[in-house]
Amino acid sequence: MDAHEFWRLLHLATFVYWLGADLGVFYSSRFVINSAYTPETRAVLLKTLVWLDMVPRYALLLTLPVGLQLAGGLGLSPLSSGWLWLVWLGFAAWIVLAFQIHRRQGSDVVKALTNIDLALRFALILMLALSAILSLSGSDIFGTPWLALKVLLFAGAVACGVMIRITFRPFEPAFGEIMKNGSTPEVETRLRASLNSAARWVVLLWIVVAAAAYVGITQPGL
Amino acid sequence: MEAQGVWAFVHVMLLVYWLGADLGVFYTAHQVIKPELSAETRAALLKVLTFVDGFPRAVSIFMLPVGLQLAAGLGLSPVIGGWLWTAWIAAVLWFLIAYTANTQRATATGQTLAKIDLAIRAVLLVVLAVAAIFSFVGEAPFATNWLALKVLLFALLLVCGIGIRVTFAPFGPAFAELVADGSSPETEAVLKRAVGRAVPFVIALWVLLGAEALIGISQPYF
Repeated sequence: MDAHEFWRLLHLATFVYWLGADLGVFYSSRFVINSAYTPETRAVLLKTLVWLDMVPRYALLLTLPVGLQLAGGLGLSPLSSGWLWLVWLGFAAWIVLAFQIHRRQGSDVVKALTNIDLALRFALILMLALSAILSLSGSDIFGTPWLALKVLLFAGAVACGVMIRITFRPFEPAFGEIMKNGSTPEVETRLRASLNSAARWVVLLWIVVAAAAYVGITQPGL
Repeated sequence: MEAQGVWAFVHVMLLVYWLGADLGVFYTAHQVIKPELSAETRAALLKVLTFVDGFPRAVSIFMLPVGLQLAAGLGLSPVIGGWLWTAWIAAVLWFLIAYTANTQRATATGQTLAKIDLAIRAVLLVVLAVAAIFSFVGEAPFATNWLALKVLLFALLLVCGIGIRVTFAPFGPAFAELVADGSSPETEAVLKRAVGRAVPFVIALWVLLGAEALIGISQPYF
């Protein structure tokens, strides 16, 4: 196994665990919003959901540096190896940030960290989408159109992830209310509405990620 | 859209819903055996497990005809034309047998089908292993050693699958007992042992799948 093959395997693994693990996340969410179940069952299923959801989260973060590493190996990356090191450092820091948000769930510091994370995502989406569009419209930042298209799709995937976060926001307080004061039709409606609107973005995310995989596998001449 | 590219994409998607989905199965299996959870919660976890597990069960069957399709496109396999169609029809039939065996587990038909499914796996693993060894020694049926190695590892994957089935078999009846008569130290011990004994086979299966992917990526000459 040479270095390029190693990165290809890792690139594949991030895709496998991103999309594949999401299946368990999606299905357990149906139990969390089902008011026929006891609060204990719903809380345990939410715990399962949150645990499994960590895997796609890290896989998404890893996709960019691993993808750039691969692009570098193909001579298609706009970044020199010095910049690539910086990208790796940045993403290592981001992974630590994501882990802290997961671990300190419920504390005040998480609110600030979540906002930093969200701002970083907005910046990333903008940067990636812009460079991809510039590259597609002739400046050739990414060497070939298919890679620029992948970068654009990745920006789309990160954007879907942001939308999931935003639509999911009412979920936590609603679920907390059910745990504390019991179920009411009003709070169940809020819970369901939040999850259902997030689900649309989840399905879109799957399609976008699968499309990126297709482009990477076939590397079409555009 | 070139056919070979589409098949390569399908091949990768099957890995996603085999290896990636398995993570959800693994995690819920370890939750379901927790005696401190209520029977209702554990039954809900088992539902998630069963749903997610349906994906690896299905895609692992279709990995074979898709792999043969790819190999035929590369000119590396003698299974072409009518034989390839036969492989596809056989896979669909096998899937129907395995699916019905799994969903009708409690019935006599289901148990007969489960035995047929097991027999198919046993025959297939011998056929694949022999075909791989013949290819290593000579030039046929598979023209390159890396493909023969992939076929041999697939035979080992089938062995792991059978190992999981056998070690996990006591789980179903024990769980039914738990739901009917409540928790007892004996039942809990059976559940825990079933999961614990299946784990080495599951880990071996994941390692083999990773190896399969790596060989497919690097296609080493030896």
